[in-house]
Amino acid sequence: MWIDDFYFQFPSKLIPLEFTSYLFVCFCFVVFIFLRFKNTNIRTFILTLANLVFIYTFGSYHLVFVFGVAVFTYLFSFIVDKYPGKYLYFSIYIPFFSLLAYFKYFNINNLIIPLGLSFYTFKAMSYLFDILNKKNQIEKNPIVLFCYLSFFPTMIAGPINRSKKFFEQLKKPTEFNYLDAKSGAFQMLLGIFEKIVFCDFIASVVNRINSVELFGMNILLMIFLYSLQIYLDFDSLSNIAIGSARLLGFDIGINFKSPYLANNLKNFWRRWHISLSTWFKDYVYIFLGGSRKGSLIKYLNLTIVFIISGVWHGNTLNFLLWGLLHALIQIIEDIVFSLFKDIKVHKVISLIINFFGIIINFIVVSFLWLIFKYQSLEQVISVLEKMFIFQKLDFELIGLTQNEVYWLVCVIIILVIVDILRHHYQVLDKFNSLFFPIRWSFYILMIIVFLIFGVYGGTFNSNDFIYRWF
Amino acid sequence: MKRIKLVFLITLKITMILLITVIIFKHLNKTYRNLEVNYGDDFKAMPTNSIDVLFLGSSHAQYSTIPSFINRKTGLVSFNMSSQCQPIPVSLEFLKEALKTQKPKLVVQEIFIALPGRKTCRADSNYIVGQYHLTGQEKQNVLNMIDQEKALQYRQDFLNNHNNWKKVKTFKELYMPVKTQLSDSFGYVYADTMYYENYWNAEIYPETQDYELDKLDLKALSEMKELCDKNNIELMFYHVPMAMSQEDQNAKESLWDWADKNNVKYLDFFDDNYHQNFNIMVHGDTHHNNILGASYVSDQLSKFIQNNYGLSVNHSINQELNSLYLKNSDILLKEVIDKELNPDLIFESVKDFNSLVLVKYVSNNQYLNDKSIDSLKKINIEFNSQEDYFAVIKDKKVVAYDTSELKIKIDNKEITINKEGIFVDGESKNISSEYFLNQEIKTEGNFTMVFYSENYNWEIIKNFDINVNGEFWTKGFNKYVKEGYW
Repeated sequence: MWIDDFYFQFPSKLIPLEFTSYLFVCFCFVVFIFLRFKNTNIRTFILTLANLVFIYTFGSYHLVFVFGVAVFTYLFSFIVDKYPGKYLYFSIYIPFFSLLAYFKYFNINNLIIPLGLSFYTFKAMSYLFDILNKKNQIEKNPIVLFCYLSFFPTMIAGPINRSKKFFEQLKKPTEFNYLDAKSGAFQMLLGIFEKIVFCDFIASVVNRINSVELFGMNILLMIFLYSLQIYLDFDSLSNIAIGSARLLGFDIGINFKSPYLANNLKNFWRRWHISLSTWFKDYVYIFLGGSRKGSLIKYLNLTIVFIISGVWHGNTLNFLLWGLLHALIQIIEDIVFSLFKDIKVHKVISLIINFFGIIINFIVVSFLWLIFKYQSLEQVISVLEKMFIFQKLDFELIGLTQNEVYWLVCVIIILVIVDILRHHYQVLDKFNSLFFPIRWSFYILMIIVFLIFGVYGGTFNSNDFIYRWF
Repeated sequence: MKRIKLVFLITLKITMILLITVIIFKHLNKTYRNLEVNYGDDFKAMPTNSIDVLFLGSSHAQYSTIPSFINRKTGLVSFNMSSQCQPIPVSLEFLKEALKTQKPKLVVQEIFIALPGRKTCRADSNYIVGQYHLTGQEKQNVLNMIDQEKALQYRQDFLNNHNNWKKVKTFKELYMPVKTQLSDSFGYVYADTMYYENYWNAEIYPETQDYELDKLDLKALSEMKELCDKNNIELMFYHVPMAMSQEDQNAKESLWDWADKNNVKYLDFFDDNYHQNFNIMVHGDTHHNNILGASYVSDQLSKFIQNNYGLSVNHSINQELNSLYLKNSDILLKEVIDKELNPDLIFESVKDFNSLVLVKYVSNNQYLNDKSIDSLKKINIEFNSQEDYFAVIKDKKVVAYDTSELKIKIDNKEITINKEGIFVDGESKNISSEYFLNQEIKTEGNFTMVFYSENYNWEIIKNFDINVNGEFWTKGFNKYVKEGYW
């Protein structure tokens, strides 16, 4: 097919600007400097150019698709604006979902999935829906629209930021805020730190457990660690994206809010991949009627949302089952909570229930991630069977040295503490207000920890983010 | 003004962070050395212009060539600058670096790595290990030879070794200081004789066809020859005893053709002259030579060097170096005597032993044949084998002997040797433990030798029995004689 030829004839001659590379950090700072212009047209031009360069480093092939989606969205927006009507909802879904479905399910030409396709198609749909619902005005400048869709911090894996706020921030930038930019830069670097020091280390432990014939408690450890791995992986990506956007003067919201501190699945989905879950809530769940038409419809809508969410993540039965189970468990939770909602309990009891709720929710989510991790149900069942064969925890069998075990425990403790702090405070802002020597001592400690404990070098590729492949 | 102040502040902070990172990195780079490899330090610690012979090669050279034995035989000071799978281009860089501080008269290149059998070596890692020994431009030259994606991390010790935190027990272990003291091994790697039963024969294959050698290797060898000629250094090759394939043999012969064309002498242990005295069943554990094999190879190398090059020792004697060579050769000789099964080779080694040997021979109406008598002559002993014989050999000379009982005081020790045994300060030194095929055997023989030196204290090294043919034999030796390995 001609597109194949195009891909193989025009690969980028530049090094891809992977999120954890020093090149990406330098690139962000260069764009930051050039975006100091106050003139909107110049800013738009510079940012668009930056987006083009970013995507081009991965291959001009990827540019073709984002450009195509941008053109289609631009043209379609005029129709949506001129002829608003509920029937248009489906007409918005169809072309974009078809494109996604082609690459995920019917990729008969074995084309590479375009970079960020899942994310900018959702952004395009949200833009069109907002016009339809009169939540946003049509953007007549195609460059601005292209800039929104191809905004490079969100290209790899979101967040799926909304168009209205983006256009406002692009066109009417606020006065340069040094603290905000500093927080953004720090968040970006924290995201890289999180990925290379914590996430990749846990990933290496998970891989080691997977590579040996283990049972019992060792499999249980793998399940929980994978849970942490997937969270850290995605959270780090989000931090890099949000931080770099903030550095450039764009607030694209938050994507995670200590999800493993949720005491039930409904709460979990308010804290996990917030941009996607709110997208589904705003553009699917509410469109279907939400909870306004009785419990049965509410549960049906919830099921549909999670089925779509499941198939969005992947093209195997596992993902569909994953979505279904999430829906089912939430439905059960809803029914159970509604039975007990009028019962008043003492604060302490409430705290204890909350605590156990957090533990149980974490266990449930971890086991559900198992379905997410493996290619087939048979593999999942095989892992569960191994888990029920008794074998006590043996770090030596896993291949961990004593120091690695200590470090693993430290990592888990740090993650729990940081998540608790994030739940209650704006940690970055609090950090910025700390006394200068304390902040700089922390920077130095982070540099040392990064250099010593970071997982880099050799054949390991830290840019293998899990969520990038969705 | 405010903007300029802000820009200045941001620039200052970024610069500070980068500077702190670089400082920490540099410190960690000095701290994190490779835990396993520091051969280069051993070479650098050698006194300037002290080396007469430089050995270069792969692990086959490391395990087969004992500088202290060569020193014992020839008086020449040598160093074994080999490492596992060391590529010939890397050996060339070693030579260039060596010539900055040393003026060897002879460079000896072991050639396994030029043969197809080197496929067992992984590509990049050979160069990576090689560069640990080097500094400056020579190190850069080696790093330029490897996959450049890996080269960056190997330019910095820390990048390569930052994962060492996983295995160390104390923080101190991360820091491996540069060794400045002389090594007492001089690059030789000891291998014990562990599994007598697990060896295989080294076969000799005649050449069947020409073999095209690696161009990079030939280029490096040519450059090595040029460098040696320019510095008035002799160059020779050698190929140690090992298991070989037909392809290896063909490649080796092609290399010898190259050597002949370029006036480079070589010592081939697969030549019939050498092979008949070497048995890979005993002298190599699996792949490399063990201490017995190394002793034999080093002995033959010494003879070859003396016969072909007539090198003389021109540098001044360095007492510390000499003492280390002596100490190392004593330790290794003890191992050879201990492990060797062939009595003739045992006496050959005892002949060179520099310390005290106490001898007890109880005749029991037996006799010694001519072969055994010749073996005894190697340690300067001649006596009537039908009578008992008790002697003390000091510095290779018999200082005292008797046929009924010998009493002597040496180094404030009362030594008594009689029919009952050998006693040092009243303590019996008669029964020794030996290990054969991993089984402990307690022995007391007709002919007992007790060795004394600084390195081991009045230990029986060898007990011999005498068989009906009047020959010395040791446990296990007869098995191999019967099966025709000798």
